[in-house]
Amino acid sequence: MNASRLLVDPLAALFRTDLTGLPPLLLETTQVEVMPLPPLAHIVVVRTFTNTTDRMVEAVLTLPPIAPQEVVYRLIVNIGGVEYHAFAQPGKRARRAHDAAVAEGRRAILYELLMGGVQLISIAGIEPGAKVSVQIWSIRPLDRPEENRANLTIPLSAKKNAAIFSLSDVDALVTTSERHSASVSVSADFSSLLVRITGQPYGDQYLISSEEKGVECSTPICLHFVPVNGGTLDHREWHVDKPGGWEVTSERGIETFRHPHNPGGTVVSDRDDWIFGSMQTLAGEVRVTAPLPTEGTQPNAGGLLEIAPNARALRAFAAAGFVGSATPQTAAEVLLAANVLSRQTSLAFIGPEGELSDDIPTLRKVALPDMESIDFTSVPREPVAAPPIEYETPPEPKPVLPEKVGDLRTPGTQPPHYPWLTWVPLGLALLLVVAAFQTIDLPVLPLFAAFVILMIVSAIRFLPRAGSPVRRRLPILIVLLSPWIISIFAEPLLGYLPHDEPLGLPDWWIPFQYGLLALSAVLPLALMPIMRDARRFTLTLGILNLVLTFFAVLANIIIHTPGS
Amino acid sequence: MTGLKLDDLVGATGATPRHIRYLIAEGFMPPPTGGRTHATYSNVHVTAIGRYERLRSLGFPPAAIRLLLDAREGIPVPIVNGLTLVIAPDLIFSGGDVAAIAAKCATKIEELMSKEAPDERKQTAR
Repeated sequence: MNASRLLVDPLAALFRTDLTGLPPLLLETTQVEVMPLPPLAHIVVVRTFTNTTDRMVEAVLTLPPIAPQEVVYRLIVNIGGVEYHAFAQPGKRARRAHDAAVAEGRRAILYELLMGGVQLISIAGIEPGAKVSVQIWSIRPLDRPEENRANLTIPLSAKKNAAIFSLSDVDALVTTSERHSASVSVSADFSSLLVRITGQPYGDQYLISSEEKGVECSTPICLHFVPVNGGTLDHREWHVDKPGGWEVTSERGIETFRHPHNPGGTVVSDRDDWIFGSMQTLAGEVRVTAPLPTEGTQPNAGGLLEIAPNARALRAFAAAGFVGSATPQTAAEVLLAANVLSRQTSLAFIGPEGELSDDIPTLRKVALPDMESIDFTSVPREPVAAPPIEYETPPEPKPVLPEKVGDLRTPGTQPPHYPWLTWVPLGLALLLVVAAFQTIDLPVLPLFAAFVILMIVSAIRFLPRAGSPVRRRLPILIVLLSPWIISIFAEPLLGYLPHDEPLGLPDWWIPFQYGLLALSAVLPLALMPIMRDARRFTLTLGILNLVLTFFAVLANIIIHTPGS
Repeated sequence: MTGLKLDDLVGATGATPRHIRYLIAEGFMPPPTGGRTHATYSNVHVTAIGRYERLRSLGFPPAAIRLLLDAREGIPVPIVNGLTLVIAPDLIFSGGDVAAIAAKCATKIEELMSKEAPDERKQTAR
């Protein structure tokens, strides 16, 4: 068409409301399988979708950035019931081969890491109506917010962040408000590991079996692990003294396999297939010994490798942080042998020539669920309107501008949280008790009883939940009571009647009383390492006991040193 | 430019093969001629890729670009505050006598915005 004959309307584009591109392919299911191998976790995510178009397509799936220190080591794509395994290749070569294969109309699969850790999977050669499942296997360190607890967050979608925004149009993340079925299952030894799932619409729940549990597809899966019955989050091993065995240890655990990088190890073995890797994670250093056999790194006829699935995962993690091995290896060789996805290596598969028809596949994006349009509330957000009340219309208030940018409120933001406000009522209550001591003419014992009750009620909100291992250590806190009890019984304050003359006391008596006060202040701090997971509870009781000791000591000293 | 292979098109435009597949799939440029085995590209494809990149750099999202190209509407390009250039999509990245067109635009803008009357301007020019 000649440009001079075009309809030129500068405003037309501004009034268009149908700014939508080609509809993306939609995910149908997402299944997540988690196997905790503390301090690591093995994760398999299976996503399925169908080519709902009437032509052969190349499906491009952009996934959120990979988690810190996460190592992806396996991609299996099932198209119409046939499985295709992708293998690690140098990144540039894999992309060139993929582009050439797509241009030739061959089946081709490419899984690569883009800038910022964004993951992109291109699957070319999907016939019309074919059902596709994409399996991604990875291993990553658990987060350790506390020494005795570990967390794992698995996002099924992504928020728009800098890495996402910097992508080109073809690589861009596509999201949709459509929801699909999603589930998670955790395979763990539940007798030694408590597993809890949080952040889902149905509330927090403990998992007690490995059965699938439905989750909201647009919400990250948040799992929490607490060891019980002698379990640990810092070490896991499987026949590390034999070929094919492995061992993983965090910096808090004890590494046993002896090799040049761990000369103090207690397990000595002549196995010659081990590789050793160390990775600095947010939770500290993680050291892994895993097998790297010279044979068996390619799948056999059944698609299986000759080492155990867990060993494969550990091998990938060790390869990503490769330090040394029993036989001479380079880091690049180990990454390829362990099938690790990285910025330098992509996972790729190229199908045979002539497998497909002559059609050139059409590129279509696959959409993830949108994370920003979540609404878990089952009841409407709008409050029910109250019946109208007749009243005088107050004068319209003058507009008040916020004093600074931080005061601006946007819909949906959380109100500010001031943790120190928790202590204000407590302080006021203590002042009230002090006043009661001085004004109410009651025996001392009921006042102490009231004070102890107040102490317990105040601390109850920080009481660890039922089932938590720290509950068994709570009786230790009885020691906090000792300073003020000793102070009272060091001199018979109970039932005291004023002496006409001060009692004859030894010289060390007053320093001893002050020592008890200091002891009361130090005790809760000394208990902190033992009372992890109940530190706030310990601190609350400690502060209240300190106040109690203060009153007991002060009362003793005043009584025995009149005029002081 | 005619008879370009995919590698030639990649070299001429700097676009990646996947990006080219995307532009074809989304309708921003026609598919190659010659079928799968003899896929051939031409200047039409080079221009289409250049036009797309030029419009993206102006801030138009892909869906808006498709709409503008499909509807054959003029594309508004802000020049300064209060002045917007409206250009036909086919003219973008098309080359031609750009200097002559720019001179005409400058003359027209001067006519419209100058405080002096046209006669006075002619005299001033002499």
